[in-house]
Amino acid sequence: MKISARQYAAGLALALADKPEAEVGAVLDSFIQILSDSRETNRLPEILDALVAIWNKEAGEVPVEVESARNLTAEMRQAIESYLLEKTGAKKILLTEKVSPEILGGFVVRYEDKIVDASLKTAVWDLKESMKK
Amino acid sequence: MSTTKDFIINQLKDRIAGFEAAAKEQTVGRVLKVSDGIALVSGLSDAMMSEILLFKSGGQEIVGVALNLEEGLVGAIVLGDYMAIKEGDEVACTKRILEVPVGPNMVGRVVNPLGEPLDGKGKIEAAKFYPVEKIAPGVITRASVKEPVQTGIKAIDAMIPIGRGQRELIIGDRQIGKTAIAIDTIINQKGQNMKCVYVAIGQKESKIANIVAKLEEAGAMSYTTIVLAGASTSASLLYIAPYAGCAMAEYFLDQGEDVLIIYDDLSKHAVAYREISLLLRRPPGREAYPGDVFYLHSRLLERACKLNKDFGGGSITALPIIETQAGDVSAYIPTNVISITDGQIYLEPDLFYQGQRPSVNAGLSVSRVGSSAQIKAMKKVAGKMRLEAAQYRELAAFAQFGSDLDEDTKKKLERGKRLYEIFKQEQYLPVHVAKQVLIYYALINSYVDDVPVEKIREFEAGLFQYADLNNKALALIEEKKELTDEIEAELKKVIEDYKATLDYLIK
Repeated sequence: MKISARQYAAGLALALADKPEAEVGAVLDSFIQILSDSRETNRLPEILDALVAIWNKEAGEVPVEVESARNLTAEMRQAIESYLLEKTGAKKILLTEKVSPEILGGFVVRYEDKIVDASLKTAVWDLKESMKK
Repeated sequence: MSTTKDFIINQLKDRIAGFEAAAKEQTVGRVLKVSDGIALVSGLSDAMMSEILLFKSGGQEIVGVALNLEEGLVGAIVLGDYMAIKEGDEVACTKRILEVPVGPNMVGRVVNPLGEPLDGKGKIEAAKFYPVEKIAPGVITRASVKEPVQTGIKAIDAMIPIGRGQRELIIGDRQIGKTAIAIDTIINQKGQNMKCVYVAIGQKESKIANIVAKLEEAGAMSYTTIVLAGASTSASLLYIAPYAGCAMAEYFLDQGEDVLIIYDDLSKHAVAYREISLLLRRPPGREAYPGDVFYLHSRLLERACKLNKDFGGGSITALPIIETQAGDVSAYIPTNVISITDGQIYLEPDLFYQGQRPSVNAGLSVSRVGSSAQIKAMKKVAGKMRLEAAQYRELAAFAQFGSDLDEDTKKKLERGKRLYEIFKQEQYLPVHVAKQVLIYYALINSYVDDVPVEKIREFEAGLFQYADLNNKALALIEEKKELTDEIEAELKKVIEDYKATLDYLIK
């Protein structure tokens, strides 16, 4: 049976769980060896993504992407972070910011598979759609 | 002038002021793969089964339906233009199960399986939205089938009566008159207190255009809805078409009305579902159909029902059509649907090419609901007709070998020939039930034995015309629905009177 990327990542995470720093290299070496034996090294990026997801989950960290029309002020950043901490029950928010003027105004927050769209572009689109009716 | 302008501007201002921009949290996923009307979407962790998904691609929203829910993956069918969807596009959940507009405004329209108009007659204001998939009514809500659906086809109304709430399969090879039976039945529902839904699955659009024209000509579009998923539509739309049609019928059922729904045809529906299933990588079974192809049709046909008084007393009568390949009724899909339905009308190529149209095979066609769905008068005259017709065919085949037959057999053969002659009927010309009783009465009481076989149809047409003009028997049958002594006397009189005017009788 084919082993899924998630299964590989879960195994690797378990193997790395309470290893001292010095042994990590050896574990990784043997993991790569297993992958190359089964000719699956091309799946490394996939496995890495799954590993990051597992890692984040265990550490209680949630990666969040915020897209805004202008740079966020510290105050806004604070507000978004506290909202998300409450919403997801995570311990820490890993915020990445992106400035994209084409959303006109407001912001779009993406985390896990959720999206909170408070952009002006969407608001205008919704208004346009509602006027059509 | 300026007041109307102001009025419009004010209205627009109100609309804009009333608009609330709200940032809602939405679950989204991303398209991993699109192919042949199927999309694989990552994420969407709280998608429901058969939930509507919105693909946000290139400034437009394309509708899809979630069919496969896997860990971290959703397999969806795309109901719009899947070519516009690109890898990486955002897909949003809507928290709504797939639904179609229903209501009285759908009547007289040609719509696609999503309820959008295809006839160019403008937008349809829907009364309600009904989910496309619905669990069929349970035992408590049902009643037994006892009122007839008059198809107006002599052979069917006499031998294979169909009741309101029944599911009667029409099965036969291609080009043999399956759709003709369905269309004639719709035409004959005029004034019978019946709504009709015709679901075309994978049919040529030219054929549907003809059907619509014919129905309009016959005045039948005033109670008919046509759900069209043509041959050029994607498998996804073909797949949901019968369920959407059924949802539209269920609206009238809930109003306590009787509905006739025709699925033309379910073989193409099964093929469309096979295509979707294979593309979704579900394991293939017999004839490459997926394992749940039986459930595909059973859950659809189980929605046909007769409800009891407490639940409105409405009914949905289903006439599914199955196309066989070279008369093979033992293929996978035909056997499935035969076992689901309450009987079948089997159309035979041999009969058709001999000029026996509609080419109903009396031996293989049955109606499991049977004579409880006939008016009393018809029951009386047509009671043993199916047996007689089937026996005649056997006898006729046997009689070819020898010429010296006994008197009794000869008589049976002569009667059979006339019976089959009476079964012949032109397309688009349904016959009223009272007239059917009249001609069958004439047959079983030996009034046609002295009419030459080749003159039977002429005799029949003349008799109908004569009875229409000169006699009240037809009106009486219509009113009483049974054969009283008085009516029988009237029938005898009209037949004898008419025969007295003829010159071609065998002396």
